[in-house]
Amino acid sequence: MKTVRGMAVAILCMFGLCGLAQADTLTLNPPGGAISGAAGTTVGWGFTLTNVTNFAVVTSSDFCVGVITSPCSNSLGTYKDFAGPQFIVVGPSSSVTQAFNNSLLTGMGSFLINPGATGSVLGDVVLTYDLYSVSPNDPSFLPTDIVSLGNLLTAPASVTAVPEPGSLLLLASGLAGCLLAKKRLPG
Amino acid sequence: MKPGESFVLGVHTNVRQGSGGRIHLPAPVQLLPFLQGAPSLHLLARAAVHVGLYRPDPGRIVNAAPFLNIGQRIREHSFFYIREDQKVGTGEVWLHVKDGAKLFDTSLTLDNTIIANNGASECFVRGSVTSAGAGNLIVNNGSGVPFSACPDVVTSNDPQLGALQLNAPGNTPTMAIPQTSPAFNTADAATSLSTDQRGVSRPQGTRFDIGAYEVCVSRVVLQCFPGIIAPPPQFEPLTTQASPAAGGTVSPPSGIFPFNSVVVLNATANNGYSFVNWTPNVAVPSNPSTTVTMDQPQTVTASFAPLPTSIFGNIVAKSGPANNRDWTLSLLNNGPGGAFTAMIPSFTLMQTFGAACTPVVTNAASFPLLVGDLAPLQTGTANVMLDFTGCAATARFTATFTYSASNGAVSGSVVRFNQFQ
Repeated sequence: MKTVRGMAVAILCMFGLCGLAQADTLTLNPPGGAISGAAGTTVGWGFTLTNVTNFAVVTSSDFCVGVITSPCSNSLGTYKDFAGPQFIVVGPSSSVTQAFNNSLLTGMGSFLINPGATGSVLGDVVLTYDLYSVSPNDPSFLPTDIVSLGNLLTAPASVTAVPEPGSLLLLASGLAGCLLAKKRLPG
Repeated sequence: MKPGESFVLGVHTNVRQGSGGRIHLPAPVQLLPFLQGAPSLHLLARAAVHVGLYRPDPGRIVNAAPFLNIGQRIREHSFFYIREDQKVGTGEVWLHVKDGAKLFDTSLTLDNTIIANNGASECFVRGSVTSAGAGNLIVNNGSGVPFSACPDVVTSNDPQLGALQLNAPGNTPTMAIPQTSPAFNTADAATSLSTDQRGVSRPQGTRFDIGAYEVCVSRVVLQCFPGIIAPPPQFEPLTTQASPAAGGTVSPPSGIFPFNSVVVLNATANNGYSFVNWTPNVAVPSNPSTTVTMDQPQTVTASFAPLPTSIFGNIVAKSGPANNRDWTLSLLNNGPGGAFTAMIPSFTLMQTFGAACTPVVTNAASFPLLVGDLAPLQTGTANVMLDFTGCAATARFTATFTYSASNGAVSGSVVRFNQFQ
């Protein structure tokens, strides 16, 4: 049975249709992938991964600004992969959703904003996954049940460093001082 | 050796180049008839080729060299003829010394002569020949049976001959040599003639030059060619090079150029590199298209720098039986620079699920795995061979491999979780 399935997949791929058969999608939580936090704090993304055919096994994730490199880096902080180390398997016509939880290490990954960082970075969350014709959780699974390896999904994402509360307080005090001084000016 | 044939001097003439000069038979004969009759003839001796046919009484020269001509049988003196198989292109010119059915000992004297650019065994003797000479430059001398080498070679290095042309004040074509030529100042003084083919006095400076062209070492041309009003052409060597060599190309190629001429230089960066500058002595160092003045020997270098780049690594295929599993690792060069000598120095597996087992990298001796040069947006692969004997089908691993390229200018690591064998 597995052999027949594998052959069918192989024939589809031979005609370049395996890519068409897949319309796997990745969406981030929050929608649009825009997250923010104070400098020195950790933020992160949840996600929903939808798979159309076969069995998708997540193998890594990263946050990339510009071209996708190994590993990616950016000027605002450090990304940590949560999805890869988990064993996330998404069957055909199904999806998996995880919220970001920095304690449970769930979600797509965390982002530690550098202390003192300001501004924002715009990029993509990049997910790699392998496709198998049989679920790796199936006792009959064999490592040769490969459909394709090293597949990529991307979703737009951004991180913004917001001023820390102490900085906001300082700013407010400064503004109040300015207003007071203006009131006391003659005329 | 054929009956009656006592001597063969062979000179291959595959390329239309030569040293320029003249051949002296016992009674000297100017080279001009040779050039007119066989412009491809390469045995253009500056100094002297003495071909003597001796009768049994030693020292008595009986040939009739003044009648010698290319492709012409000297009927008046039937013991000489030159056979020219082909005038231009490939072929050979042989000088046979014969005397009908009679056998005579012969001698060859080859002095201060350049024989070059004719391919293998461009000068040889065959038969009963007594060879002697001095101060010759022969790049590919004769070798092997039944041919023997021509005598007394002082150097086999490239003579750096210029084009066959009229070089003032001569009225026959010669090939100039630069001062960097191995023929410069290396002729045998005792056998050198007092003038070169052009009529220029020898030596210029302290020593004689090999070949038909005596280099004028003085900037005051009248010292070289007294009585000559028109300045003769002078040449200076130009060496052009790219650094690094893979970074780009330069033009023109190295060569010799007229003294004080202005040579246009062009530098073209290869894919993945950018032009940096020219050094030294060029008009505009920052311009890839500039000029250099040949007022002295010049060596100019175009420097190129690799453009920045980055790499994305992946695991893209697995095949083969468990005890000889073949994993294909890929590296994609994102560009815009090239990734040169990309390689994978290390690969590790860490088991994260299943009964403990120990996969073995069976081609560990091949590390670092060479991926090769990657042009921008080019993907290269390398294969790691693994023996998963003893590992369950559901055993999972975290695979990590490192990569580097361009002498470590680009490096990183790739981590993939949940890898099955």
